[in-house]
Amino acid sequence: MSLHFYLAIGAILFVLGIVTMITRRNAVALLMGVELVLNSANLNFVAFSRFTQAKALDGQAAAIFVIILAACEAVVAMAIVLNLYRQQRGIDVDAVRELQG
Amino acid sequence: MDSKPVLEVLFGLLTVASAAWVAFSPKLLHAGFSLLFTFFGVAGLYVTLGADFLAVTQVLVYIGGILVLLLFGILLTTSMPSAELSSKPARRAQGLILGALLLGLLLLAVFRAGWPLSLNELPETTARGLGLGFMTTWILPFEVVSILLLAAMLGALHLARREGER
Repeated sequence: MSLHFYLAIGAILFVLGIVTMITRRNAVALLMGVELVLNSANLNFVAFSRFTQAKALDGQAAAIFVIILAACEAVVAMAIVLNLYRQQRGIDVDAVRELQG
Repeated sequence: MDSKPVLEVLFGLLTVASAAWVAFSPKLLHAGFSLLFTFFGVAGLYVTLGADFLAVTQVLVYIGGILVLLLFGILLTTSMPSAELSSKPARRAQGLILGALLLGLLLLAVFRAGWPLSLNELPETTARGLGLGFMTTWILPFEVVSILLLAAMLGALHLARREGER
């Protein structure tokens, strides 16, 4: 299968992630959208490192860094979401109007 | 018969279908479990691309870590995890139109661009090459990311404490 197959799947994943982020109002659902977008970027990294003249493992190393950053992001975001729930008894992101320490 | 194209299409379909369910499922918990199949499908695609270590990392970190965290988040923050997701029809229409436009643009770019194609030869297992790379070429980002992980862990612990304990 060619590069285009993987890039097309990456594009579809990316768009579905964006649509998730636009349409959902639940903070955890937004996080799922972010994870979809990050996965699509990773897929593109690995596909390019396989099918173009880049050094073979560069794309995979970049993808591993992205996975690490995604883990950091998920942990911190989940802590914020739990705090939000404690303050507002709900995690509708449209209901959040305050930024207080 | 070579089964690789079949596997690629299967994993691709699994990924796309479950990701679509993440985006459009009316119930949040269903979306969360659907995400499991998306991550698994992407891991399968990594295997077909010859990235074995990355596929294992994907399963361990995404499914074993991030997805479990998200599911805990869903269960902790919704009084009824299977409750309907309230999404205004207007917002849904906006999202769908924007998504369709973006998808068209991206696919156009993917198929029109002249990628310099050449099949890279990958080593039998990539773990050795990646490990050597992390200790030589990518040592700086590797160390920075380790500090970032520590910072994220401490930050999350601080944020998650109750108000009175600060």
